[in-house]
Amino acid sequence: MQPPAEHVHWLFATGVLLLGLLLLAEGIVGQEVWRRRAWRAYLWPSLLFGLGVLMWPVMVFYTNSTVHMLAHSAWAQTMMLAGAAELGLVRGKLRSELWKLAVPVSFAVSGAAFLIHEANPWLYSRSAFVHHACGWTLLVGSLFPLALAFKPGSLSFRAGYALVVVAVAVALYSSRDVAAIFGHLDPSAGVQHR
Amino acid sequence: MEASMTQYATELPRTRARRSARALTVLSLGPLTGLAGVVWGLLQPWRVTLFHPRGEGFWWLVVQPPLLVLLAGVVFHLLVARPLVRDLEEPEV
Repeated sequence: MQPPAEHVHWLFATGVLLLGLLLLAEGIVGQEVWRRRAWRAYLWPSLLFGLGVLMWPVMVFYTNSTVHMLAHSAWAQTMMLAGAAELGLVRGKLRSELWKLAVPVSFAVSGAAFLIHEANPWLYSRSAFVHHACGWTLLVGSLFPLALAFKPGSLSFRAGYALVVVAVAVALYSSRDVAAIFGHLDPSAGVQHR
Repeated sequence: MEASMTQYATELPRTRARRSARALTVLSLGPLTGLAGVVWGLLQPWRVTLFHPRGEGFWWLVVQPPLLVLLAGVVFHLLVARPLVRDLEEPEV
């Protein structure tokens, strides 16, 4: 009954896509309207925290190497940290504005984890490409939430932040077990079977 | 006095127009996402295994990217976008 690894990527991609849509909607209407309903204010921080919690079983059940396990653990921790910090800020329990840096730090650490645990070059296989793409998107994209922490009213920074999340979702949807990328598949990656 | 009334009279429709543009954008996010899923399903019909099942299990039948994208669009539209636009267009009480 355990889903194949590809399906886990796609399920997480759906969660990340929803996260991106929520961030986009919040950016469009503004925080004042977005937070008019209490449940909505907690929505995307809870989703981010939940994705972090769900990453733990992935770490346990889909471990094929130590570095994979460490990467999944880093994603779980950073997503939980960022989600919890945002929940604390929304609730008013956390007062320091510095907690807003939890999201950019989470993006940067997650991006670094993608890049560090991928030993192969971009065009080695689809999986390698997805790892590099997600890594650089998150690493460079962390500048948007970082800038937003200092300029919360900026629509362009908020939109950039949301679109980075959507881009990661798109990359995760393209993940396959063993597959070619732009016609390239290194023979040592295995035989393409889907 | 007259000048200020004229100012209000021109600002009100502008504000409404801006709000309706925002509402329209929010309302378009879900359908556009759903449409992306439908287009993906049309471009790669073999991904929607539900239409031509050949002994696949639950995961391969139900958890396919085009269906998930479609689902995300529908869920977002019904549960988030619609109530959000209602709040956007109604004055705060």
